[in-house]
Parts: sequence; structure tokens; C-alpha cells
Amino acid sequence: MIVGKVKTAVIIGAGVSGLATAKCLTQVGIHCTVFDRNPYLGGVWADGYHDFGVQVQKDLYEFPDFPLSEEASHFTPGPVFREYLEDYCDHFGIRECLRLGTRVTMIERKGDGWLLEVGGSESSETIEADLVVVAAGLYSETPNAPNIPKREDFGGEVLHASEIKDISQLKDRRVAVIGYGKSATDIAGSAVGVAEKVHLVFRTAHWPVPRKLLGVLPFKWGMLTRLVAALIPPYVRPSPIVRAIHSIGYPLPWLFWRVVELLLSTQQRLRTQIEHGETLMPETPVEFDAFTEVTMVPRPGLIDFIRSGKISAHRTGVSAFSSNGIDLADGDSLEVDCVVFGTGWKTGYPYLPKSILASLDDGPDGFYLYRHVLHPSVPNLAFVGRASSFMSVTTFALQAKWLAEVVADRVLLPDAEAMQSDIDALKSWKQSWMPEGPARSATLLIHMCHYHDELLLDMSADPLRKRGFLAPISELIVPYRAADFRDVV
Amino acid sequence: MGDFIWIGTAIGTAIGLLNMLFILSSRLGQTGLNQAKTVWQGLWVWALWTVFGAYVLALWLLGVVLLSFSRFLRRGTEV
Ligand SMILES: Cc1cc2nc3c(=O)[nH]c(=O)nc-3n(C[C@H](O)[C@H](O)[C@H](O)COP(=O)(O)OP(=O)(O)OC[C@H]3O[C@@H](n4cnc5c(N)ncnc54)[C@H](O)[C@@H]3O)c2cc1C
Repeated sequence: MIVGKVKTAVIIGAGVSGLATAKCLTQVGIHCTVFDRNPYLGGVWADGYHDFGVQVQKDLYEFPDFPLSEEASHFTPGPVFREYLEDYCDHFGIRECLRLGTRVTMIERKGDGWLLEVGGSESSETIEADLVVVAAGLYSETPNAPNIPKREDFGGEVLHASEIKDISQLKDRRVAVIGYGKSATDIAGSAVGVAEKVHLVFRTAHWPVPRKLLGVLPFKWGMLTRLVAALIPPYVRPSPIVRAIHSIGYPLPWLFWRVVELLLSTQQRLRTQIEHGETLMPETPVEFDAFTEVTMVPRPGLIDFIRSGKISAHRTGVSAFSSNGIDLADGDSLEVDCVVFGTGWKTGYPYLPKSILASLDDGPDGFYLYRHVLHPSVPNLAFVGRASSFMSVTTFALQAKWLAEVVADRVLLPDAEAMQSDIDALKSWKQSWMPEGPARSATLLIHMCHYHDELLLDMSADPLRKRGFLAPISELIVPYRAADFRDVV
Repeated sequence: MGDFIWIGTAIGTAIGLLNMLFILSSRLGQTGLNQAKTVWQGLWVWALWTVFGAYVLALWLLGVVLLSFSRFLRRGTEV
């Protein structure tokens, strides 16, 4: 909800979403200041773990109006993407909005706008803004490390994946990596041949998506098309045809996903035996598992390392630390001198007062927003980047554009009651089927195309983005690229 | 076989027609949406349902059989 005339905006975070927001708001005449607690821009791309990089092909993960260079490789390495964000900043003239190395420590209401306390390492100051945009990301607040008993007994080192800046930190050590997501499997894979011994410990197996299906077809063709989006559990307001497919037609999507499971498990040999006769086969059907926070496209070679025993995989929990390692819930003890948690991040907004979090109805799923951006109970506070997608840069660029259009009064919002009922519908829809998790409110993933459709329709832009004679077929079976949204953002 | 293809095509044509009508009714007259594109999309959707109707019916029947079988097996293991 936006009230009053917005002339100034503060954006918290200079990652992908903060930069996209600064560009769009500046273009509609808003004076923007972007604060980032880090002394550099880029958010997660500024400073990641060893050898980190994008999970998807580059045509999915770039700004629609600022393509990555021809030379950039697919699955863009983190440092290359960071350079690209620097270029984006210069190209759109937003560098002068940046105040890096400055943390927003507190915000409070002042009239329709906000009063913010911001500080660097030496001083702090108070500034005012009509609009605050939180673009602080889902993966940068606090490293998530499970609370495992007897930590004080352990003589070795305990690290979070984000602290492994160089894999030589693990050289000649016996390492246990905890987790089964992107960072855990990346670190475990990189540690092979460097560390003396690598264990991968995870409680739940998830469906890994190979970069190429059957070794030939980039995974986006099999996972990110409108046809496939019609076969996942239907979106909050499905069309009649999708409703029919998931009622009387249900055997069709059911069969499709079982074939996908068969292909994924055969290609990646998920029935490989690991410790205690377990396998890598997930228990949750793929069409639901794809909406957990651990969706991952592993680096090629991971499963081979597990098969060959170069990574020793344990499908169990960690029950306690011991003096020389960790004890597992299946009764095994691992002798290690380093434990690495690849268990993600906690999302949090420590600068938001409790009263605001209460108004946002913050709960176990996080909080739900209208179009994942605004809340009717907290005017002039917006969120950009609170939506997980496979092509986040496009998703966030569309969110930023949508917000700028709302601020410029070119997109009219429904009244508060209608916004709230939309939020309630989204919440009960997600809670009816999506796997639980602290970021469930923000999860979109394969549903991203339906969310993009909503933003586009609000902006009076056509959700059908493909062009040419065969556009209707492309709409169905060709995945969208960032470039398809160029004329919108 | 011939009958099956005719039945599948007829069902596909009917579903395709409904799908096309939904596309037309939800898009025509909306600001910002290209009307020619809407009609073109609708026609293609109808054509695709018609052409692939028999295949979709065959896959649906296969799904019915396998889904029933898997539910039966699951009930067996639960018992
Ligand atoms: C290894 C890796 C691979 C990924 N691959 C993909 C992919 O293939 N596809 C995809 O869609 N997504 C991927 N992602 C997700 C990625 O995080 C998002 O796509 C996107 O980069 C997030 O950008 P953001 O600007 O929203 O948040 P961030 O990049 O987290 O930026 C938030 C910024 O806010 C700043 N900040 C936070 N709090 C404050 C405060 N109080 N004051 C000042 N500044 C603050 C932080 O310092 C940070 O710089 C990947 C992430 C990682 C880590």
C-alpha cells in the first residue's frame, strides 16, 4: 500500500533486487538512497563460498534489459556476475545512489513515511524517507547452523559454507559437510581430492535436477515451460483447463511426474547404495519436492563421487559432537577435524520493529505480501526480492518495475480489503500443499511464470511473451528467457 | 484403433474449443493485450488439442491404469 506523494526512497540492500529497484524508482523521478552494510555491491554475488556460481543457464539469469556479455559462460561464476552487477550500476547511472558500508539498524514510522537509523563502523545518523524498500535478500541475514549438542567437546573446527572462501582451507583434513542443498554439495564436491576424507551427512534426500536431462537437453526445457507449469499442483487461481487437468485429468500429471522421477533416478543413479544400505532416492514426489528450499542443480560429478566412495554419504541426522568428530543418529561415529554446515541461511529483518512484523503477520512461513511486494497494513514499506524463482533476476526486475509503476500511479492497487483477501488466498493455497519451511511465503520456483503473468497483467503488459508465427507453440514448450521481458522492464 | 483415434480426436476438439473460448473471453478487451495474438493463440490451442487429443487420451488411460495399480500396491503395503 502506498500513501501520499513519494519523493524519496531508501532501499536496504545493494544486491540484484536493490539495484533493480534503484534503477526503476529513479526512472520515475524518485530520489533513491541504497544502503548496504557491506563495503561492496552485489549481495550474495559479492562474496560467496569457494567456486560458487549461478545454478542455471545464463539466458535465464541476467537482467532482461542488460544482457550478460557473449563471452560469459553458462552457470555464470560468482565473481563474473559481480562484475556484471558493477557494469549494470554504471550503465543505468545508479552508482551515485549507493551508500556502501552502511547498515540500516532501525526503522520507525514518521507520518506516512519513515525515520531510519543508519550507521557505518564509526558513526550513525538518522534519515527520513517517504518509502522504504527492503531488498535485503533471503540468503544473507544469519548463517543457519543446527543446534547440535556437545559442541564444546569438539576439538576441531566448525564452519558455515559461506566461510569457505578457498577450498585449500580443507586441505588434508577429514571433513563432514552437513546438508544436501547447493552449497553443501558444491563444497563436498570441491573438497574431493583436496581433503583427506569427505563425508556428506543429510537427513532428507531431495530430487537433484541435472544440468542436462538425459545428458542432452538443458533442464529448463523439461522443467521451466508453461506446459510443465500446467502439470504442477495448480496456482492459486488456476484456469478452468488447469483445474480440469488436476481433477478428472489427474492421471496425466501423475504419469508425467512419475516418468520424470524415473528419468532423474536412472540418469543420476539415485538408487546407488550409500552407508547403511540407504540410497539417494527421495521420499517426497518430485512435483512437491521441487518446492522445498533445497531445490538444486548439482555440479556434474557429484553423484559419481558418491558412487565411487570419494564422498561418503550418510542419510541420517547428527546427534552430537564428540571430542574427535560427530556422532550420527544411525549409530555411526565419524572421525573428522572439520565440520561444515551447508544448511543455508536464516531470513530475518532485525531492523523492523516488532509492531511492524506483527502487522505483517510474521509467522512460521515468514510473512505473506500482496504480489510478494506490499502489505495493506504497513503503508510505504515494500519488499523486492522476497520471492524465490529460478530466474530471480527477471522476477526481481519485474517486481521493481511493478513497484515503480505503483508509486507513479500507473498501476492502481485494489483497496486494502481486497489486497488482504488476496494475501489470505495465497496463504491458504500454499499451506494446503506446499512443503513447510521458514520461507514458504516467498516460494514460487516453478510457479514463477504464473507470478510473472500477474505482475505483467497489472502493468497492462501481455503475459504471452513469445513472438513470431509459431509463438503459440513456443508459449507452451519453450522456456522463457530474461530477454523475453526486455520491453517491460 | 481407428475408432480410438476418432474418439480421442473428438474429445480433444471439444476440450480445445473450450480452452480457446476461455482464452478469448479472458483476454479479448483487456488493455495492453494484443488482440490478434489472442485469436492466434486460441486457434493454435484448439488445433493442438485436436491433433494430440488421441495421444492425450491414450496417456490418460495409461495414467489411470498405473495410478490405480500404484494406489492398490500402496494400500497393500499400508495394511
Ligand atoms: C550460490 C548461489 C547460487 C544461486 N543460484 C541462483 C540461480 O541459479 N537462480 C536464481 O534465481 N537464484 C539463484 N540464487 C539466489 C540469489 O540469492 C538471488 O538470485 C539473488 O541474487 C538475491 O539478490 P537480492 O538482492 O535479493 O539479495 P542479496 O544478494 O542477499 O542482497 C541483499 C543485500 O542486502 C544487504 N543488507 C541486508 N541487511 C542489511 C541492512 N540491515 N543494512 C544494509 N544492508 C543490508 C546485504 O548486505 C546484501 O548485500 C543463488 C544464490 C546463491 C548463493
